[in-house]
Amino acid sequence: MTSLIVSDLIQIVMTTLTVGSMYALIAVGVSLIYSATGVINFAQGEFVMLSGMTVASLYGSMGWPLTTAIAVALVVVLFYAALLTLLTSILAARISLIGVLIITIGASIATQGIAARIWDSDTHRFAPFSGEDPIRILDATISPQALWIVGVTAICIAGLIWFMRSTMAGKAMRACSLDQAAATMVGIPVKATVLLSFTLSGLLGAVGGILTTPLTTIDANSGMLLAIKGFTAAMLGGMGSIPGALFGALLIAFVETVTVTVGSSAFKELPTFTIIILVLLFLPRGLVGGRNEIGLQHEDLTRQ
Amino acid sequence: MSILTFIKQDAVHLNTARVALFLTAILLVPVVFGIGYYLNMMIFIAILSLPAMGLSLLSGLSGQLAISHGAFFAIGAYASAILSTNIGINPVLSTLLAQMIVALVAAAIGAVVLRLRSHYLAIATLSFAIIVELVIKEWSGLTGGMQGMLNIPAMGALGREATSDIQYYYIYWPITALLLLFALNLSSSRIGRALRAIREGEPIVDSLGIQAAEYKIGIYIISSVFAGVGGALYAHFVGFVTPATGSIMFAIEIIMVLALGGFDRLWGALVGVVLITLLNEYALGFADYKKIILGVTLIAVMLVFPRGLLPGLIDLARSNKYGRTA
Repeated sequence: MTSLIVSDLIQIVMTTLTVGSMYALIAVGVSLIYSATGVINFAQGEFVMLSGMTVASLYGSMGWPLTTAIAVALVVVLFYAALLTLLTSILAARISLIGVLIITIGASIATQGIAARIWDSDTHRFAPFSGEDPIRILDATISPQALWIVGVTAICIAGLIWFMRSTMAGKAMRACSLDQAAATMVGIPVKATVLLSFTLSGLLGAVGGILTTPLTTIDANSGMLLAIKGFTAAMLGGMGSIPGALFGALLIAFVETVTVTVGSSAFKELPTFTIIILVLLFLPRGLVGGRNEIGLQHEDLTRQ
Repeated sequence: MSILTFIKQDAVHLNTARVALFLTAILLVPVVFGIGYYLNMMIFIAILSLPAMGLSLLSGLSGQLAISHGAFFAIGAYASAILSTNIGINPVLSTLLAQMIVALVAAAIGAVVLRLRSHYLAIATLSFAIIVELVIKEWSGLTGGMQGMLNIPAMGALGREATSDIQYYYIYWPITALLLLFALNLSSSRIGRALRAIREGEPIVDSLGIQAAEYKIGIYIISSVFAGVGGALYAHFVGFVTPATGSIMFAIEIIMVLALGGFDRLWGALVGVVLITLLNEYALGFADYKKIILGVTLIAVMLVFPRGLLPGLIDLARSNKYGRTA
């Protein structure tokens, strides 16, 4: 009886960590772009979809080596990140932030359509990195891929935090998120920094797609819901804060896992989106509460 | 106190004259061109204009964007479908009752989310839209789940039901025109002016004794009911509803309509609906191409004409006519 409860707990913790890692990779990406530009990138999930689909077709179907397929996927995502930088930050410099949100919605659905033309609308996956045999701990079963997901995500996010704290480029990104005008005055190349934030954010999404596709499968339309989950997590934690995004992602994953374990999988999204409305209402800056105020300022759709 | 007492009478007369002229022209179309497949398209234009006009009221008067109009369209459609199919209430009555449900939900949601602005409001209303879509899919005892609801009674009362496109055409267009007139007058009324003032600066308006919060919830309810009426008319015209009725794609399509017609123009919303209906009908054979064309158009319009395609083109024409002053 006790071992049953312990197994359940292990299962819940592992599922939370696995699902939470995926959400965290997207949420941290959303947060990075938001703090550099104030833009909420609705197309964030397309990074995941593009990388997952690329590896699935090159490695899964065409039999290329895994490393080559991953390299191609990263290149694809980097191009896409550069394109999004162009659309949302360079060409749209004079457009209201909510107008830019609409642009990223457009980018997201156009990408879904293009992906469905290049591939198809079916779900795709490829073989897990370390085989399909689950690891058993008491009565809990854990897929080896889940360990890959949690491990690589932890390394990526730790690396990102180190990068932001210790390197010149990372410090430049933090300076831009505090005050772009001041950053320009002290000689920080703002455009390059924005491009860097999109690039890093894209790479995080790509890592997520490559890691989770063997476990969760992917299709041309998967991106949008993932993006919504990602910015829900980022908002929950507090927009612009990396620890906040991580915390929000794990919290959402935990609530979902418990809902599925205790109740039914049908309503697993319900608590998540109820929570986000409540958090926006009572703690508009999220649980951790970044100091970034861009999105709270008055914004008007019909005027520049 | 009547709203009308606060409107400049000229504005009302002008709005009425324009809408009457427009409706007359619309009603004469079948007389001139006869009965054909185009009537079906025209009915969809009348229906889809309602959520678009609703969102246009909200974005035009408050400058804010909600992604919840697809959801309210679905609530209106499902509520009226359930009331008329399962309980057997007359479709006209069920359409009206459904609007009370829409208004109640909008009031509850509005009270919660309208303290937010800009993309926070957009994301909060998006979350609400996802919840609605989920409930529709999963509460299959009430909504029929993924299969949706079939055999929804046709619009009609007193034993007379609309059976042909031409009958629907003559029922639905006057409703749309009437609501357009209402929206135009609302926009030029004291309420419209108060909302525009709130947009400029809420604390100042509050200090003048205008209850900003109440006005904002009020316009959100009205704007959502427009979408709800559209949903109910849709359900009784096509005879079935599915979860796709309230999907995020539909919500995005409504935003697309405004991007084409302008975010602050009620007549522009009509033009946007016509454009997107023509796109859907003739240019978009496959769902994938539809997404590509919709997405790319949305990006292009927002980049070139951030206030919307139609207002952008009008500005362009004006600046060519009078020469650039800047």
